[in-house]
Amino acid sequence: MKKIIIPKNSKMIKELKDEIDGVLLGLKGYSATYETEFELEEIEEIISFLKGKEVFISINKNILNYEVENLYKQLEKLNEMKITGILFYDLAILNRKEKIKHNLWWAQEHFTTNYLTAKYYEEEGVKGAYLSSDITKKDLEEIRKNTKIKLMINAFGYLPIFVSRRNIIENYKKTFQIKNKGKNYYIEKEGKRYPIVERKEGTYVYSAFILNAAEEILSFQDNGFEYIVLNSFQIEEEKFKEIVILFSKITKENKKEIQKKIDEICNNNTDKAFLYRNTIVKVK
Amino acid sequence: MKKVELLAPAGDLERLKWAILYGADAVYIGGPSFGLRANAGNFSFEEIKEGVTFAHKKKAHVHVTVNIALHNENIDKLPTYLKKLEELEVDAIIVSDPAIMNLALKETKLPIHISTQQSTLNKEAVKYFEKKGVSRIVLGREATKEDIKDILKNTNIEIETFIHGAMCASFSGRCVLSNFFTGRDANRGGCAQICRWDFNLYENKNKLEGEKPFTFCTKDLSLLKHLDEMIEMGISSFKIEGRMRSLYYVATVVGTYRKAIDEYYHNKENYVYNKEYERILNNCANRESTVQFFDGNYDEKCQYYNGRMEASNQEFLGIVLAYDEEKKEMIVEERNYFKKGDKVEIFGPDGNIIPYEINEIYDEENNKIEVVRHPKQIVKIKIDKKIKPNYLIRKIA
Repeated sequence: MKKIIIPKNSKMIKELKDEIDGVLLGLKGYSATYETEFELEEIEEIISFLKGKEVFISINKNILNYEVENLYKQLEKLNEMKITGILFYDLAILNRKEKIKHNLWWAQEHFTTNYLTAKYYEEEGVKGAYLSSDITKKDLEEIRKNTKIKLMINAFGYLPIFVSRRNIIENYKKTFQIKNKGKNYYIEKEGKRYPIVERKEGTYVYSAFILNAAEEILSFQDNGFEYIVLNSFQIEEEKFKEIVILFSKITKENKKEIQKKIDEICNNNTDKAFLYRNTIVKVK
Repeated sequence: MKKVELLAPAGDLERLKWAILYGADAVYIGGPSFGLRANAGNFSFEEIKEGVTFAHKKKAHVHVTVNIALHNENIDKLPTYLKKLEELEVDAIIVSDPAIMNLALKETKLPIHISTQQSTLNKEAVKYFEKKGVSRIVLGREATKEDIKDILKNTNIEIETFIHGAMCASFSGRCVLSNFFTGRDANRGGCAQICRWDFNLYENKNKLEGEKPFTFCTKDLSLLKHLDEMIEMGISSFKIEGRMRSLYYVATVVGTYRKAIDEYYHNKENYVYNKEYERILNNCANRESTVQFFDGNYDEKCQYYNGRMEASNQEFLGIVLAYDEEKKEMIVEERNYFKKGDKVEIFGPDGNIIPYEINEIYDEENNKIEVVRHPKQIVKIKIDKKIKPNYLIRKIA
C-alpha cells in the first residue's frame, strides 16, 4: 500500500521524499479544501525532483460555468506532464475524458460511499476512487471487495466537512464591521474547535478532530487498498514529518504504540471519524 | 415556447393535493426510502399511487426523489424500488447518484432528472448527463443568471432552477456538518440543519463578536421579480423548495407564482412585476429573502443573522370547508387564533383575493362568539359573498 501526502509546500515534499510514495496536490484555482494550491510551474518542478514517485493532482472544486474553458486549458498543459492521476469532483472533467491523457480518479468527497457507483465510474474509464471519510471501515472493505478500481483512503488529518461558494467569514465581518485581518480562524461549539478557511472561491470547514487511522492501516493493506493519504492541513511541519515517519514504521507488533504516539503528537485531538460508527438516517 | 412548469414541494398526500389545487403543474415528493428528507412525512407506495392518480386527473405530474448518496447497504433494494416507482406511473425520478441514473436508464423507462445535489453548474457537466439520456437537470443554486443563460444556449436539455425557498449555505452535497455534529447523515436524508446554528468565531485566540452570533445561515431565495426574465431565458421548470413546509405555505407560494406566471403568458408585452405578490410571499415566510446568486452578488446581504427563532405562520387563520348560501355563512376550520374585528384576506385556488373584516362568528351550535381559539374548531363566519371550499383565510398585519 502506497503512502501519499497532501503537503504544505515544496520544501516539505523534498524533506519527506524518502518516506513517501507520492503526493496529492491542489491545483491553483481549481481545488477546494487544500491548504496549498500549486501553480503548474511548481507542479512541474515537484515532478522533476520527486523522480519516479507518484504525483496526483486534485481538481475537486465545483466548476463554475465561466471557469470551464480555462480549466480545459489547464488540463491540456497537465497532459504534457508526468502525472499519475487527476482526481475530479465536477463531471465537466469526465465529459472531457477523451482529451485527458492521465488516469482519472473519482473524488466526489461525500458521494464516494458505495461500490455500485465505483463500478459505474470504472465502466466510464475511471481508474481510481478516493473514498469518503463518512463511511465505516466495513463499508470501505465492502467497496474493496466488490470493485476492481484502485482505491485511496484517508488515514491521517483533519477532514473537510463543508464547502461553500460564499465568503462566510468576510460576510460576517462586513455586516458587523469587525476589523480583523487574521487568517487562522476556527468556529467553536460545545467546546470543540472546527478550523474554518476562507478563500476568494469560498469557505471551507474541517472536522474538530484529526483522523488517526494508524492502527488500521495494516488491515487496509491486507484488504487490498492501494493508497493511504496523510494530510498536513493545520499540522505543524515538524510534527507532520514525525507522523509520516511513524506511519512508515507501523508493524503488527507496534501499531497500537504508534497510534498512541501520533495521538500524543496531536495533543490527543484525534479520533476515528466514522470508521466504527454508522451515521444515522432516520431519527427515532 | 412551451409554458414553464411550476414545480411544488409536497411533504404528504394532503399537501400534494393542495399544491395541485393551487396551481402547481407538478409536485415532487419523497417515497418510502432513497429520498433526502428521511424525517419528513414521505409517501408510502399506496400514497404515491393515490397522489399520482389525483395529479394525473388534474393533468399534473409527480416527480419522486431518489437522491440520496448511495451506500452499500442501499444497493440490493434499489432495483425493486425503481421498478415499483415505474409501476406506480410516476412521471420522473430525481436522482443524484449516477449509479442510480444508470440503473434506472437500463432497467426502467422512468424519465430521470439530475438532482441539485450534484451541484451541476456548468455546460460541460450538463452535456455529460445529456449524453447519458437523462431528461432534465436541476441546476445548483449557485448558478447566476449569466451561467443559466450560457448553459441554455449551449445544451439541448430541460433545465430546472429553484425560484423560491430556503437555501443551503454550502454547495449541495458538500456539507456533512450534520454527520460530524450529530451523527445524522446529511446526504442520506438526515440533515440536522447545523448551518442554522450559532457559533463562536475566533481568529487565533481572539473572539470576533458582532451584534449577532456567527452563523452560516442564509436568507431564503425569492426570484419572483425576475420571473419574466427567467421565462424568456427558456428555463423549463421553476422549483419551489420546501417539502417540510406547511399546507398554508405551499398554497400561498404556489398560488402566488401561478398567478404571476399566468399573468406573464396572458400579456407578455405589458407584463409588470406586481409588488403586492411580494408582500404576500414575505408574510408567509419565516426568513427574509433575496435573489441570492442570480444577480452574481452573493455577498453579506444574503446572510441571515437575526438569531431569532423562526416564526411559524401565525397569520394562517383557517380553511373554508363550505358555504351556506341561505344563511350567507362560510364554514371554517380554525388553524390559528382569530377574533371578531380581525382584518383578513380570503384567497383561493383560482387566484381570487377577497379582503374582509370578520364581524360575526358562530360556533357549531350557532352561539355567537367573539374569539376562535381551539385548534381545528369549526365555526361559521357571516359573509355575503359566496366563498368556495378550499379557500384559505389569512390575517392582514
